[in-house]
Amino acid sequence: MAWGTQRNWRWCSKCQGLWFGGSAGSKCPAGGAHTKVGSGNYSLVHNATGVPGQANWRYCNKCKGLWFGGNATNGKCPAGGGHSKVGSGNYTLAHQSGAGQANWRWCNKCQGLWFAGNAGSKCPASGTHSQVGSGNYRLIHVTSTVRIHTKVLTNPSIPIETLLHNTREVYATGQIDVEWASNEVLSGLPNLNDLDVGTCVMGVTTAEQNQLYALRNNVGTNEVAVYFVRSTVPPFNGCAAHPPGRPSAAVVQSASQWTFAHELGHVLGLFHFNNNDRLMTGLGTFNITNPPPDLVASEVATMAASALTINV
Amino acid sequence: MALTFEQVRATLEPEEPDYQKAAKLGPDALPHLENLIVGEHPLLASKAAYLAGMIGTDRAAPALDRAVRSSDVRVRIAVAAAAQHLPTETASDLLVALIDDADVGVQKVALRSVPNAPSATLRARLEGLSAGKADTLARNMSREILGLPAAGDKPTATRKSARKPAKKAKPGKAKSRGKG
Repeated sequence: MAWGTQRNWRWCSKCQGLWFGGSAGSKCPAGGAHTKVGSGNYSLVHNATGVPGQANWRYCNKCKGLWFGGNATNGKCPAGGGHSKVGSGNYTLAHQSGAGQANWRWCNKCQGLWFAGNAGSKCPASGTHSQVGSGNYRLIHVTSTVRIHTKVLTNPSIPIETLLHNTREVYATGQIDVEWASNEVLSGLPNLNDLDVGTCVMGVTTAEQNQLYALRNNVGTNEVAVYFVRSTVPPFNGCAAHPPGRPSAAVVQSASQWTFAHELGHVLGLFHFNNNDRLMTGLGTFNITNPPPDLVASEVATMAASALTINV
Repeated sequence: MALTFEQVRATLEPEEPDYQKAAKLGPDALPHLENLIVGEHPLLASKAAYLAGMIGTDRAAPALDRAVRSSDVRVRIAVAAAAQHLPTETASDLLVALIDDADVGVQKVALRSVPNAPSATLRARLEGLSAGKADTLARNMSREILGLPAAGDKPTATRKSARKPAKKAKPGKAKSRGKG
């Protein structure tokens, strides 16, 4: 169920297109290879289900660009002929709303994605790219990442895909990528499904938390495991207290759409602040106004300083 | 000024409510907690049930009774957890209805909340649970509370108890639980 997160997508200042910088042999319609000079590090999700946005965006193994594969045409590839989707994942782009850099557009001439915020685009079909008929796509660009593993004892009322998507949206405002590295169903643990979290104070854990958070299949060092349980004892929406060296949090079945991101914030070192515009509100994330909730600069700095966020 | 429903609700809305602080709202919060317990939001209902137990007093009885009879298992778990904050007699009365709940989570939490000196009725229920064919977790927990060997142990086997050193327990004889 976990989806793929892929960085190293780059803006080309020569043609304004988006291309994958992790492969050699790119082909730019402005001539030669694409350039990543001046570009941020864009992160895309692929093979995702249940997330807002438009799927069927594809990587072309000929020119290394991103193009829309949902139309009857393969468009125009700068390497010749139409684009190819051979070997590509199925990428989903935020469409019309969401976090990230807006003004990315679909070109109806070549089917490629390009940035319309600058002058001087170059379309392989001829002349400049066109944004006629295009939505306003938003791309996340990041400087660090945190890897998340989900472990399910009870499925949350809000789909995990939505919780991860929301977390990506919020963290993207701090240029922090959120990777959903794995998902595992933990069956046969009815005694831990209503998890005793005691006082839920950071650094203080119960025997049940220690037992559950020791179940870390696939979880590497400095990666976070989030456990979905039916309830906690006493009743909380979630709890981020965890034993040393096992960064973890619990999220209950009826938690809000922002609880996951909120508890992850605690794991990364954040504290409450009584403001319902902010992710770390101490007044309850069901009351968040003006979503997505905000991270302030000091919170981003705290998260960036955490050993759990890795520079990319 | 009278305590309002909104004020009570606001204390329970945080991701991690401060129950110690919320309990200072006192008995005037109990009618509002009762309304939250029967409300549509399962998280607020379970938080309200727990807070009602923390506030305690005789005036909490209607709210706690509603929580015990809730169809939502999370609310019954919350009131089972709250029982540990209640006087022995009140806690025993609540737990009689919860220790053999159909849900293993409710059973677990209720059994953990059994007071040191359970009422005779609750003790009888524990004995029934320990001897019956109930879920293994509940059976073992009730046997541990009563100071009996874990199911499957040889009668003379030494075992560890979470609450009292097993070596002090004698097979077939109920372990003393504090003053009881």
